[in-house]
Order: sequence, then structure tokens, then C-alpha cells
Amino acid sequence: MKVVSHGKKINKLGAPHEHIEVAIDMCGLGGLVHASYESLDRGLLCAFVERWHPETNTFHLPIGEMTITLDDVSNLLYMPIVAQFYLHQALDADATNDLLVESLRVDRGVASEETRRCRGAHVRLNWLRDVYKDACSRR
Amino acid sequence: MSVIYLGFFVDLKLIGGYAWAAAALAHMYEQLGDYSYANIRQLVGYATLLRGWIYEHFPFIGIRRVQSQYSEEEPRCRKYEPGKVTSIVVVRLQLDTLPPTSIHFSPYDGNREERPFEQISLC
Repeated sequence: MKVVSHGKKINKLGAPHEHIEVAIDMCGLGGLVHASYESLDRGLLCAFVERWHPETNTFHLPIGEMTITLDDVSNLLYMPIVAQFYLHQALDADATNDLLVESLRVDRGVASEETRRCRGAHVRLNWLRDVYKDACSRR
Repeated sequence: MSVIYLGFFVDLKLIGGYAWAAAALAHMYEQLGDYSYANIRQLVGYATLLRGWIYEHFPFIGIRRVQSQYSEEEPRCRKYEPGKVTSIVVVRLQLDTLPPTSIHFSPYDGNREERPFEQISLC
């Protein structure tokens, strides 16, 4: 099994830039900045994942069924569970590039090249990191 | 990374108003479900969440160190420092012979001031 997780990459971003620290504290997701484990324990994860049943969304263990609950996520990651529900609409190519240009202040050409490369409304995490580093260094 | 998430960060004041944990959990269920098909060989997701869950509920499975300087202001996954990797053969055997008494069903009692139990978690 191959496990794809961004734990290490997220930590590579380093400490947040001083100009956005306040915003991070304010938004209630600040706990996530240092939450990620860098290493992967494939054996441990596999042994659980192979007992997962999608019909019930539970791990079937000899002692019975167990699952990850909202309370687990709330405590493990300190993310809100009682709040506005997450809704979004699919983005077409223009809307995707508009959003990138407006919120990340990148050139339209740069944005459209990246979304073309990712074939849709996606960007690579490394690309995002470069944009972030670039913005920090211009401060 | 999906660009769609950017829309939720445009107004900084609104970021904390979304039920991020619900989205994270739905994503985790979906990825675990996908992986359970025979032809899928890749698990995508936030491994820290799954690993933290194992550490909290199964005190005897997986190698980690409890951080003595952990404080309740931090997310609970910060309580553990992962140690050496575990062999799948060992964990399988542990799960097959696990007595119910060695599972921790309510591990977060110490964090209730920070994270009160919400009724919605029972649904």
C-alpha cells in the first residue's frame, strides 16, 4: 500500500510569516500549523485500514466495530464541528483562474499555466508553497 | 490541491465559521472506502488524523512517546511523538487478540474544557 499524506510537506512550510500569525490565531484553525506527524507508520495504518468496511464506515475488529467520530476529529485536530456546513460549486477554468488571481495575487498567465498543467481546478502543493514563499519575501 | 478551498479563505473572519471537522471526517471516510476496493493500492488522506485516533484509543498499539509538555491548548494529536514504525504482522496479531479492556473508549476527558462534547457527535 502506498500512503499519500502531506504531513511532512506541511511542516516544511515552516513557521507562519509574522504578518499572518494574527489571522491564523483568529480563524480557529491555528492548532493545525504544528499538528502533522512527519513520519509515516505504514504497518500501523495498514493493519487498521484493511479492516475498514465502506458499507458501515467502521473498522471491523474482533471486539466489534469502531470508527472515527466527529468528537475524535474535534479533539485530535481542534477543528470546529458545529458550524456552517461546507458547500461549494464546481469551478470552471475561468472561475478557477479568477480565484487564484484575486486571492493569491498571481499573474493570470501563471495561474492558467498551473491549472492547465493540473488539468482542472487544482494546483500542486509545491506550487502553492512557492507562491507563499514568494509573497513572504516581498513583505 | 483543489482550488475550490481557496474560496473559504477569502474573508478571514469567516474561516472559523465552517464545520471543518465534518469535511475532514467525510473526506477520511471516503478515502478509506476507496482503499477497500481490491484494485486500489493507494491511501490518500491526512495520516495524522488516523494515527492520532489509533494512539488515543489503543494505548498498547503503535510505538510513540507521550509528550510531557503537552498542554490542553494544543490539539490532542500533539500529545504524541511517533516512534519507530510498527510491523503490520505485529499489529494484526495485536488486533486479533485485543481484550476490550485495553481499549480506551473515552480518551478526551481531560480536554473537555477546551473541546466540550457536542450532541451531534452521537449522530
